[in-house]
Amino acid sequence: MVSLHPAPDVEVGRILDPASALGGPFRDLAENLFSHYGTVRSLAVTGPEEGSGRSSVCLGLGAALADAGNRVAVVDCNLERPHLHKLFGRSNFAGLTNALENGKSPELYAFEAAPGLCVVPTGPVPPGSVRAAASERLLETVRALQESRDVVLLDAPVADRVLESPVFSGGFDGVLLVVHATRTPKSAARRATDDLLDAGVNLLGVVLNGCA
Amino acid sequence: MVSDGWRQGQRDDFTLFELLNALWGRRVLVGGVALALVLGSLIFSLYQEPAYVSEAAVAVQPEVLGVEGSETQAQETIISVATEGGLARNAMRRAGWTASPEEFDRRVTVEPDENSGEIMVTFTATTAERARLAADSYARTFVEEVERLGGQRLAGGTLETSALVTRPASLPDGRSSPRPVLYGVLAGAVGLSLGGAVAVALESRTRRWRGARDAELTLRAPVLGVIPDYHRLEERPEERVG
Repeated sequence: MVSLHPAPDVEVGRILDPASALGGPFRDLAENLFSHYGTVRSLAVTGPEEGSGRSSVCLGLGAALADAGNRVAVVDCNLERPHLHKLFGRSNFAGLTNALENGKSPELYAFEAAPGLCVVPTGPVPPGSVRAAASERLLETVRALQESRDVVLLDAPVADRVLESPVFSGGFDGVLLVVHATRTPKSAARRATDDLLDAGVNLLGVVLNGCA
Repeated sequence: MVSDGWRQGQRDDFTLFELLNALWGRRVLVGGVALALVLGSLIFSLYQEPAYVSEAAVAVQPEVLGVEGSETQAQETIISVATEGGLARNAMRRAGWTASPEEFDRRVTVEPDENSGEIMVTFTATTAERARLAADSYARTFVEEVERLGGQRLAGGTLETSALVTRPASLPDGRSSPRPVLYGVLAGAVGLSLGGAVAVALESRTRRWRGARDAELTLRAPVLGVIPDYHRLEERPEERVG
């Protein structure tokens, strides 16, 4: 672990706190997911467009699963727009790209965001790493992470990028689509859902984020 | 386990549920457009003067001397010759018409009916009695004029005629226009269609989701979670738990 003392902002603190008003909805999401589909050990979380709240949903779902006694890892796979480390006010000096490069477990580059929940930032993004993050090496890295974690949640790129990558679209137990209740156009969400299903992606369902 | 049925359905078509969902989501818009058109049609009806139509039938028996099979042409010739000159003025006087002759001309039509072979005289007026009286007066004046001209042999002396009012004008059952109820129903139907089309177009472009049911109907996929807006929760701390 890089650090045991992350300093998340107020919003992230609320997402991670199971006793907050957001704890209930994220618990419901975790329960629905597991009761409908059984054990899900790796899950790619995507959205029709940027800004739907994939990272928040990953963290909230991860916190709910961790609160239920699971060991959970959230991995920032969005190398084009790394975001998770920013939510915690951290630097992005080490993370997934290091693990992909040197073959070590990404847990070495993770920090603990809440009890039972570790977060793996993207790490530095040199040229070519975006392609590496969508390759078989990512699959191997996630499998290595699963040895120590019950559930791995991947903060994946947007749906178009997921469709371009066989690893994201078919390498994990399923895909969750996050739409934002005031930012995501219905047409874009419908198109993304149709495209994912047409491509044979195991779309498990939708999360409606940011509801009034 | 969630049934996989939702993955296998045809996703290209637009279902009735989606249509109803879109209409319900924009019900104020749809209702507003329909109401506006209904009100517009009612106001239009109020400002329109009432129109009563009365009709009389005249039978004319033209005989074209030396020419066969040209009865329709002969009727048209009779109508043309008979309605020239002072026929309208005489009919106006007989009907007690006080408005302008142009107005009288505008309201009367004289046309042959191909099915019955009769000439139909139709008059539109603002009261039923005035319509009946004017149509009847015109028909009778027309008959008198045809008979007068018949004696003179029309169309260069090749046409002999006799005429008779076969069906005098009667009081119309109701006014032919405006019909506020009919106009209102039609305007309402047009308004619902128009508002519905606009609602569907807007709904596909909107970024406003009304909830899990809306998302499920729009995406045809199960909604596993609904996460509230953090900022709104901040504004309503009483909703917090623990």
